[in-house]
Amino acid sequence: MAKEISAYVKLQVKGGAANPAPPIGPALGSKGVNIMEFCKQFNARTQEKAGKILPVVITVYSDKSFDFIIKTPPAAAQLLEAAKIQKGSDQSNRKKVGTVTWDQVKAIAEDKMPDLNCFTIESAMSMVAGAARSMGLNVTGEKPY
Amino acid sequence: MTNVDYKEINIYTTADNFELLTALLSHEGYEGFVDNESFIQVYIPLDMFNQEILSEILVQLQIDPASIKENTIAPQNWNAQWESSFQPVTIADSIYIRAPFHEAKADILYDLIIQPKMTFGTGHHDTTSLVMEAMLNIDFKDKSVFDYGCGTGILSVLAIKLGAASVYANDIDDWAFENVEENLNLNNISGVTFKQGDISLVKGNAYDIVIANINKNVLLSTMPHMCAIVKPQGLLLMSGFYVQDVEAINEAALSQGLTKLNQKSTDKEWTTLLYQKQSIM
Repeated sequence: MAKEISAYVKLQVKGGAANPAPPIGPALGSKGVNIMEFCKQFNARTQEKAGKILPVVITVYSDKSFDFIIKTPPAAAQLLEAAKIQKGSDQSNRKKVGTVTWDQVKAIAEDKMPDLNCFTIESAMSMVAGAARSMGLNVTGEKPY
Repeated sequence: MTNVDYKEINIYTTADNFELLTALLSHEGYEGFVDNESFIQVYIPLDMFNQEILSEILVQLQIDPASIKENTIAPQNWNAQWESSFQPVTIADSIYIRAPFHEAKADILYDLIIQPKMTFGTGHHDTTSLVMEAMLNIDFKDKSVFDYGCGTGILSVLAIKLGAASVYANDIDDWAFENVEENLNLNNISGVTFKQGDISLVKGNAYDIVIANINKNVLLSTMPHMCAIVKPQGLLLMSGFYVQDVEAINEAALSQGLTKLNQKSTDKEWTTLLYQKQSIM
């Protein structure tokens, strides 16, 4: 018989760095889940993506057991990385302005395809490009479609 | 960081903005986010919080500053609910791990009392039970042991019960410090020295047995140091990784002159590896 689901918890945390501090502690502890068990599993499964922000959806069952799905890093986070925007120490440089190429947009769109509600790579690319613009990033190069 | 105040900020905005917010904030030291459908909760250690940076990001995403709510969260044992009701664990018919509120079990060789307090190591996880099972097959009598990343101190307690002369244990975790002491007292254990910090604490000493239940990246990055502190003929027992990680870890261990003795995995693919250091030629 399928186990009864008591809650879904949607988090974004850094790969390889889960610990019982907020948000994981309060979000899972209040559901009676063994937080340390979650952290050990999550960290072991994300060693290759250490330091990257990863969305994770945790299903908590009525017997306090759990399982979880780790998604690909958000497009916005990948775009920031692609644009190599450095964290400026000068406050006046905080405004994020940078560029990404269409090739980078395509690579991110391909990575994100399994999680995006898109049927074609073109529509995934235009979603990623839209996200880039709203972050203040210019998309450069030849538009491939 | 588990023993510092955190700033929690609830931000009410469109779902489209969630991703942008988390990307921008994660570049500014924010560690984690909870997606609550109608609002997002973002978390940062209080001493890293900067109002100006947050305001700029809100302006950039056209989020009304009046729509956010801030709280300060003090450190506390978030795992208390689970810890208050966990079930005892029996390993290989000879180790029984229980909380102080459980009755002792009759006819058990090694009775361990563990009060976890938001630290890892209660025997419930495959890696802890795999390592403990492996320890039963190792001669600990009068040996010196290093328990690397000790968590609750559960493996140190078992090592002493198996006859080890002394254990040096470390952990970077803030909560481990008090918790190890508490668990040593609960089990009337002496001979264990605990220091909070990473493996760089260990200088100049070598041990008969080094135990490390951590994770792939830490094991790989500290392999030379770990191997250097194993005595000739001594043992290195590692866990905290999956069977797919064995190749990389094995290669690193062999390159340090260790010989593989044993490998064991559970059905969830958690794995332990046991190595021996050969005498210096």
